[in-house]
Amino acid sequence: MPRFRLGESVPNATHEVDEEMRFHFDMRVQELMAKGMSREDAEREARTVFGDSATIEHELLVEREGRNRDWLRRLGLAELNSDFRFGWRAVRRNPIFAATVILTFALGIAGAIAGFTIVNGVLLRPLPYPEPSRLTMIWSQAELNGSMVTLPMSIPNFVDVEARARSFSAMAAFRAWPFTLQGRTPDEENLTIQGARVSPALFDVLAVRPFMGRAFSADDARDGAAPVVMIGADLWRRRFASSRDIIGQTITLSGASYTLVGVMPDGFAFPRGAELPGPMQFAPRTELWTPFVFTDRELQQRGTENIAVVGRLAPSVARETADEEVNAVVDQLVQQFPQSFAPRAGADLTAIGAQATASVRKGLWLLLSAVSLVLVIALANIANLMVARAKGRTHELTIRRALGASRLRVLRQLATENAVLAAIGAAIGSVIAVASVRWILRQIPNGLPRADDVVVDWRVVLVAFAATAIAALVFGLASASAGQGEELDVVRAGTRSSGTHRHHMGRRALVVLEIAMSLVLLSGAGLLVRSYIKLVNVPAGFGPAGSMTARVSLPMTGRFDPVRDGPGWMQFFDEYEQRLKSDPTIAVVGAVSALPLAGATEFTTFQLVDPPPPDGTRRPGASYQVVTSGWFDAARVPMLAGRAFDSRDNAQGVPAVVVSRALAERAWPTVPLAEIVGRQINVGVRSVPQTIIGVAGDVHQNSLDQPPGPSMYLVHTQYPYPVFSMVVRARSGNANDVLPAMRRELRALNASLALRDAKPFVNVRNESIARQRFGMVLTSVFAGAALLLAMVGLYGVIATGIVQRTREIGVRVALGASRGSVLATVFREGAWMVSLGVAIGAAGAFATSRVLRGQLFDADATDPTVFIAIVAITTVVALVAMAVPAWRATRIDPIIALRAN
Amino acid sequence: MANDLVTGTLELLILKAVAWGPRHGYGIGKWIRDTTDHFVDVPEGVLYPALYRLERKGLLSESWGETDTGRRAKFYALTREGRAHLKAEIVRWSDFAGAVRTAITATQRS
Repeated sequence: MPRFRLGESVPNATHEVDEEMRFHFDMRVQELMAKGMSREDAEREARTVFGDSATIEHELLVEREGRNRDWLRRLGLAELNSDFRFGWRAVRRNPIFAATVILTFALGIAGAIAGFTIVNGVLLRPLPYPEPSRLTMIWSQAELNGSMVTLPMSIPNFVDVEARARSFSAMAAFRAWPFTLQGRTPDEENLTIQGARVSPALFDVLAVRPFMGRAFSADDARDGAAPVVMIGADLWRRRFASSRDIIGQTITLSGASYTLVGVMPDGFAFPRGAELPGPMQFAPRTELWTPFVFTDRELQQRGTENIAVVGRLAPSVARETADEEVNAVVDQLVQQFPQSFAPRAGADLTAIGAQATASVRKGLWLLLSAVSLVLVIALANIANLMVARAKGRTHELTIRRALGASRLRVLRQLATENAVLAAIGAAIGSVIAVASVRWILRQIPNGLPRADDVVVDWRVVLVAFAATAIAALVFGLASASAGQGEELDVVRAGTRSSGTHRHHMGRRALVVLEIAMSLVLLSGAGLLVRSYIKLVNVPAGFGPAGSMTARVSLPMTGRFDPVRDGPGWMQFFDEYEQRLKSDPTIAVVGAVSALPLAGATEFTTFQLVDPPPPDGTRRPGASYQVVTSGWFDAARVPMLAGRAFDSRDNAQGVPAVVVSRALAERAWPTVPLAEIVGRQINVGVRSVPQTIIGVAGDVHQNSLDQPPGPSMYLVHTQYPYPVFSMVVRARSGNANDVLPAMRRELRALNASLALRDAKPFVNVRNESIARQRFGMVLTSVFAGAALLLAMVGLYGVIATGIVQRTREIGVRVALGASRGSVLATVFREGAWMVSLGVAIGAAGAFATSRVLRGQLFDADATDPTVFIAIVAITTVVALVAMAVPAWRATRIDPIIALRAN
Repeated sequence: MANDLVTGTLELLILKAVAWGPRHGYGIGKWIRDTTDHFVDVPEGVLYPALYRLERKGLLSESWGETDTGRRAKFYALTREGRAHLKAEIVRWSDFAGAVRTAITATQRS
């Protein structure tokens, strides 16, 4: 042999192979034409016989390259490399198949990563405090309106429980308290900072120390102690430019001077609003702490339940033991001060982690199950697609085996191809996951507890990629085993094999499973949709259309002291209302201390004056709002009897109260509403009896899915308040039209104030059901995706089944079978898969529906309408998925079908 | 074993096809088809890889030439090793086929 020959260098290998194949093809065409075929027919026939030329060329190139690189081959690397290139070529050759697999993978993995990331952050990761399992919230419990409710504690009760209970190594009270941080220079603007008044022991309870300066000492909380403050790391950076000299300096908060003693480490923001019950009014993050100094007056108000308490269990004390002990202490207090407690008063200890996530725990597990179902469906679908394609390639694979390629070699090639697809899918999926976690967190701002703790964890991504690798291998195996078989046949006669029955059964079973699982998801989504529709239609009790709301908080100098500051507050809001009323764009003006459905409610007790309750009877509770005289008009809350507040109800007038219908009916079940007007009640927050001047319609104060509870209204001219949410209705009907006037008039009254949380009143209502809407939308999206994937799977099985039976169908048509009977054959094949899937799915949906019960509003978890609708939808969509291949089956030309083999 | 046999058979037929002179790939396939009376129809996807593999083993050599109609084509020719291999394989195959025939036409079980 010559040492080298021209035209044999590696770069030309592709070209040579190409030319040789083209020559072969042309010769074949000539031969067929010599037999009398037209050129067109001959070319088509030659192409059919030739099969997959790309595969052959690939094979040849591998062989050729292998000759030149035998040493690489020995290491097994040459093939891997070419497998990857071949895999990539397979992607390009069949882009629809590839895109389907990649997208299916991407969707499944994105859902899994996003779902697990959120669940991991919210439910699984420990709270950022040492030994979080020993931390427990301590709440009061009492019967309110016939059911047990959990309430904050009163200051005197906290003091007594702390002094008597032995189960805790430390216990602390805290309460949300916004501050205005004044600028240190005239250019520096005032900031509203979310703060909290806390017992000095809080930092011992949580076992977190300041990273700079010191924590509070018990002396800081004594009445008359020099005011001190601690701040969060973020505020320290933002406002104090990370200055180390700040410790010991004086800052001005709401008009009073405080000495800054400590800066808390990054990430410390206790209490975080979403982790605690809504009515406590905690901000998403707390950035500033002052010592909780109890005044003598506060120490007397045993009935005013307005502080949250957290404790750290002493070593080796079980939560149950502590629970019993605290309840025993409360029992003693009830004996001592029976008047100050509602019926069945007690204490409730909740682990802080459970407290943080109680509201969403179930929803998140549901989310995770939905995500897992979609992932399983996606994987089943990919398995199906892979097997289907392997069948289409039986010819190619058999040739490779016949040529002596080992099973391992064929398997590795398929696995590599799948790995290429899976890797692309996983990469896309990760990107979607990161984006959707952000989207999800944005959808429920401040609504998701521990949202701060949700970060895309590299371990989660790693798990996803490992799953991908395993999937690639498994599907490689599945498709390789599907592709094994009738090797000798193929070599001998070049026939294309038809699949074995066994594999067909496997693929059909997968489709049945997919249909069943998507039905489970769909029924869940259906129930949530129905529940949401009902919720949307609940009358809220107020009319928000055309009104704007915004909060105005007056700066507080020093302590909360209505006696000293009240007249000023009253005068301010009176004047602000007057100015707004005279503006031409504004129709009605009113204000309320806490907007309904905005998550803030204050409770107090009430007691009938006539007839007075027998001694020792506990007082019932009710929520209360402070309002201006315009409130009922502005919020369109109807007066059912009596009158609303007006100018008569001033400081000199008779102390007046408006009660809600629910309160009136509970207190005087048999008295007509009109006769209640003029009666008197004692209200926990007021020292004198209040005369009822009117009965107002019920308003959903807490949430739309709970019936409105008893409620009462006090007027600010008799009970001044420093924070109001303005409700201002536009003449034009467009809420936004009144904002300029609201801003202008506020500035005119006090240049240092700003409107906060300005938004149309309608949004308040919508935001209160944002979580339900979000859950519904998310579940529906997953259910839709599941249905789509299941239908792709169904379509795939039916379509490949028809391709493999082309010959059979051709024969039947040739023998005179009608189109109708061909259609019937195809649909019969699909019908049992669909009906079996629907049956299993309906049973599964029925079995799992109880899980949803707690998430539904006024909807039966086994609502037959929903089930029937879902089954109908699934069936119709399944018919559509079958219709396309079925139609194609009727178009099979018997001549071509018979010649195909 | 069965695979080796089939693979070996194909290689044997290819080597035999070029025993009397170089042929191009198409010609080899057609020769096998015609001489086996269409009983063995080797698909392209089997034929060409086999040709390349035989070339790599050094049993065939390849060169570009022209067909009688003047088209450029790649021709395969038997190398010295190829001819020796062909001889040995023919013997092996005949022995094997004879043995199988004897076995399957035996009239009585022993």
